[in-house]
Amino acid sequence: MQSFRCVISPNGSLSARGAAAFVLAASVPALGIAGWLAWRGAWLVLPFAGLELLCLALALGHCLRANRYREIIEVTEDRVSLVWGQDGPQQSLAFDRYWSRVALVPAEGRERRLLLCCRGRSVEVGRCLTQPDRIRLGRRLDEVIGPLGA
Amino acid sequence: MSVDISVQEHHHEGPDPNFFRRWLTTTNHKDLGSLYLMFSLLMFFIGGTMALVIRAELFQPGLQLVRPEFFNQMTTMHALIMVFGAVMPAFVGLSNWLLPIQLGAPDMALPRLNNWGFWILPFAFSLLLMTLFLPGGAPASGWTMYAPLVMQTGAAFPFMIFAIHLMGISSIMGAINVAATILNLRAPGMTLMKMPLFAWAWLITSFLLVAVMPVLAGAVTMLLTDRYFGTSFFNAAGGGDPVLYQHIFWFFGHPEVYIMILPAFGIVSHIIPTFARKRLFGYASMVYALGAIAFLSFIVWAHHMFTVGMPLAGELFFMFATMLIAVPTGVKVFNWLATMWRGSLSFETPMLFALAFVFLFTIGGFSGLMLAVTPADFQYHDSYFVVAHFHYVLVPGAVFSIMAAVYFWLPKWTGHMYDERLGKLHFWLSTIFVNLTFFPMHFAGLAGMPRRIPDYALQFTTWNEMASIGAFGFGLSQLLFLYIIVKCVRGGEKATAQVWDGADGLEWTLPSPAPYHTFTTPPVVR
Repeated sequence: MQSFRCVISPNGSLSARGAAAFVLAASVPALGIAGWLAWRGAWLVLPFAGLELLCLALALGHCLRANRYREIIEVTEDRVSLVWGQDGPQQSLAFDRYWSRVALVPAEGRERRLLLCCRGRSVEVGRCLTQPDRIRLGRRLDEVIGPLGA
Repeated sequence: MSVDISVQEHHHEGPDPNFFRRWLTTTNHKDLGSLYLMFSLLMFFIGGTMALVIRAELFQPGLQLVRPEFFNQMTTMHALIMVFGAVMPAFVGLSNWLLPIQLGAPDMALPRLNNWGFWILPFAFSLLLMTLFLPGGAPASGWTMYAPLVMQTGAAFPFMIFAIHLMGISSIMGAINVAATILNLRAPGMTLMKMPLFAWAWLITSFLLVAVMPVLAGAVTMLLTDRYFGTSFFNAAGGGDPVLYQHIFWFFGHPEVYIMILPAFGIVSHIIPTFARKRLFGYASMVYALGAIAFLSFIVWAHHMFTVGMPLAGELFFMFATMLIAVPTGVKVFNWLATMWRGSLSFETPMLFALAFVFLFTIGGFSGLMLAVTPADFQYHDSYFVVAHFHYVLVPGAVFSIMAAVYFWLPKWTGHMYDERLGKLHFWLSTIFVNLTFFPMHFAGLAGMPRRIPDYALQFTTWNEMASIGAFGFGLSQLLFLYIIVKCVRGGEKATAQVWDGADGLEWTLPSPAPYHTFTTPPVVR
């Protein structure tokens, strides 16, 4: 029996430690001077510094969160299963392999969507991928599911 | 069962065909980069026109063209527009255009934030420019907005504060976006120490922006509350301290100078190796020098305030700390020279501007060293020598690097080569006139001419006439720059992907012009 498994994740070069180190490094001068100025009576710098560092932390946190997105596609002898989620498996779906197919459909946005379809149901895969990668994944799934399922 | 997926392979989405929707709602880094650069050029001409008003008035002693209060408005607005409207947005524009294609990223990390960051700017500068038509005119207290002088501003006061807040928000958005892009969207294999130096320079610049922008925001907010809400942060009569404002301002202001020059270092570090056809000498030391300059920028602010009065130990500390900046800066200049040493040099327009940058920025650096010497500063302070110093750093420094970058990457952006003959003409006119404008100011300053005055003693006439002629020459030369850009955008010899035979970096692997979407598949860097 031939089986196929792929894990899809977005490209991200930021680690949680890297993000924390950057925010910490930015906090030292920003909060240091804001604290010193607050001590000298110019306390209004402090809320701006806090607010800005919060924005920085939120922005990097957003990037980290986006990096944690995963999709796992598994094709076995009779099943095509998909597990996806932001922080660990949150949703899963399984299709009958014989009736499964892949489709690349136009979307309202700028790029096409790759759909895994089965008996009138469909689910989007490769959401975090770029268009060429999505096409490559679609081709590969087509190879794996198509001939075997035919 | 199967679907023909290959038919879609060459499908590339372009920009929105609706002109207004495209430019208003775009989140594409190239569109936003172009918008930033066009905005910056517009501000460069507006701020430049104000400079010409100043130089026209100073062509001869006596009051000729404008009233003294309007003259002060021009000096203030010229500085605010050039710093926040021309130089900073130009570097943000370059970062938008270049960072994703240098790092192998499909776009900036936070594209919507990028759009907001740009579209705040036209509102901010509309507010600022609008103050020219308000009762009492535009702000006239200098870009430093020193209290209590700034409290004399008329109806323009709250508009100026609000405009500065908007500019600050835009800068912070840009900085956060750049940091997130560099940290998160590097292509696989591109470690920090493999990054292009422009990316390194911008990472450190974004760090500086994050650290010091709240200080400016706090400072101007305290001015606002002092004026309208009865606080006395800087009001001595209420127990406040006007000198504290100067400390606060310069804690922002000095790193701000490096915010305007570090990206320039990055640009020059790309151009010189390209036209020397050699690898950059001492990449790691260049990175460490950038870091060292950024660190030192936090501990030298009070060299702007030697004459205000501070303990001797403070004056010594700030003097030596300031002089220390010459060490990492010297490392950079040495490395650029070593890169050129025995290189196969050619002198296309970007290289000419980069060479002028190295030579003329160094002059600005040397006069900075002179100003760092506390006892000498007591003579130079508030004189035209200071004006000469910072204009050497900012015009043949920051502005020349931006021009070098535009000539260097314009073929990549437009797909056409610019007119090299006109480019060289622009370079020579700019270089001759920039020196004619600012070099005589050293002598006027050393002879005792104070800055920010519309009239002066007769003995300074010759230096001022030379400076004014130079300024008009420099200003008019920039119309040629505009013409060269427009001509290049409209057509010209087709540019190859590589453009410059010595160029190295991911951006040169892309076709020229760079497609609307690039590196949708991250390249692997080895």
